Amino acid sequence: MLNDYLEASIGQLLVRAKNLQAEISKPSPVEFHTLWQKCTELTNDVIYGLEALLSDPQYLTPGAEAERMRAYKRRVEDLDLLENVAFAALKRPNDEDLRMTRLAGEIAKEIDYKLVPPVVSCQSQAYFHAYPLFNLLSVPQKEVDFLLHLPDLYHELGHFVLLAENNLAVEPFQKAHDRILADALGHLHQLKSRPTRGPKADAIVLRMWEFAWVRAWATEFCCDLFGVCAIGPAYGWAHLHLCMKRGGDPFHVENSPYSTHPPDDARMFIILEALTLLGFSKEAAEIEQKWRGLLSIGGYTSNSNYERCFPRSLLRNVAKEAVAGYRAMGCRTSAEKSGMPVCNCLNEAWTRFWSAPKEYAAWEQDRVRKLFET
Amino acid sequence: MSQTGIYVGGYQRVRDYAESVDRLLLELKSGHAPTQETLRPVLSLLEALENSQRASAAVQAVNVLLRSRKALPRSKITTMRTELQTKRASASTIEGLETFAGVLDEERAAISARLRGV
Repeated sequence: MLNDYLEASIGQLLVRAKNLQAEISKPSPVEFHTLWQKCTELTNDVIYGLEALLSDPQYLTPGAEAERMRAYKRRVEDLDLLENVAFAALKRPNDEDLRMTRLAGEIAKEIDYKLVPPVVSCQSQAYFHAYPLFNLLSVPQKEVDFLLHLPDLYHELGHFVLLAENNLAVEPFQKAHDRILADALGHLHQLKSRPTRGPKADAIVLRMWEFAWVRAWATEFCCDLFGVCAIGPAYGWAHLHLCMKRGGDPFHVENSPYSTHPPDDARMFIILEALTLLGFSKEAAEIEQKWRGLLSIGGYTSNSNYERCFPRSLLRNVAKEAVAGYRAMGCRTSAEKSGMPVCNCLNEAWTRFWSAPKEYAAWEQDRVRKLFET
Repeated sequence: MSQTGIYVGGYQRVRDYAESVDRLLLELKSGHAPTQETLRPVLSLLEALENSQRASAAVQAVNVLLRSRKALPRSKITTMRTELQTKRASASTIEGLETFAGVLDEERAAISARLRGV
């Protein structure tokens, strides 16, 4: 059964993969050439992998059906991801993609980013998405016309740093991430010996938190702190902005193994800690004041789960480790200011936002034009 | 911010681990001694799981996964690694590798479903 199925299905997938390659084989802007090359390499890997499933004697050995089936599924998914994300970006590069890709390149230059800056595609139907495998960043279509959420680009650059392999230049930040995670897991281990719901119920919640820390929370904290180090106060303002627009209870701790982000208050806490470490105490106090306003208006208060999972001492250490890791990479911090026009522009935007709210929208349109002219 | 970033990063690591374990299983099942190239990534992973307190986030994730499924206790991982270092694999080690491959594949499929928003 399996052999007949794979003969037909793989034949079809090979046609699909080759068609995709043919579709992008046309002149494209030079900024997209790295993505193009990556797509070609990865698609060829999928093709060779699929062909091997039909011809490699190891896959045809009796008893190897389960391995063959799993390998087939992996290749199908590899091709799906290529088609839906990377090829989709390559098929329709437009002026907005080019402007954002160039902006990411400028940011990389400003902060002395240690990796090849990603290609940016303005095709996201949700929020900012990083695809480290393709070195591709996807942003909402119209974000290119505004400034206030652009600090999140810096957060996404952090994802690429954390997932780079065999690169000593980014190792200090990666090691900081590993120390943060070890510290958090150590904290959870201690909590196990102090059950609050009865040992069984507690063990289930702690296991969920453990999953969330290793899968997402440590990474998200580190990317937030990469963003703070690189762009400074604007990052804190952008976080507040996002929470005002889309956030729920900022103290809510998800008890799901697939939680994607730590609670917003914990994120804000580490952002403010890092700003203080970087010399932005005054700005941190201003952001904190507004944050307290948000909590008060929403009627949000802390809860016991939050206090247990994210004690202040743990969060302070998260900020300290990540800022030290960022500095040890030799990347420039936003505190340097000179020669950082993009960083300065995004911080200026937030100063204008609060100092002249009524005029902000008009000012921003003019400033966006100038930003992309330079 | 970047929900997909997490999943793609996590997906890739788990996918690569699953691929490495399956490649080793294929070589063992075909009756040949595994090559160093095939063995190395699996041995590194098993070794990292034995010392998971100092391991990377990706290894920690696999470790939590194995513990939550109550699959492959640490002693079993040590036995598997010791055997594989001599390029041998008993029926019990092959069975352990199959369990490991199954758990990794389940996790890969789960992350993939999240990626697609399913």
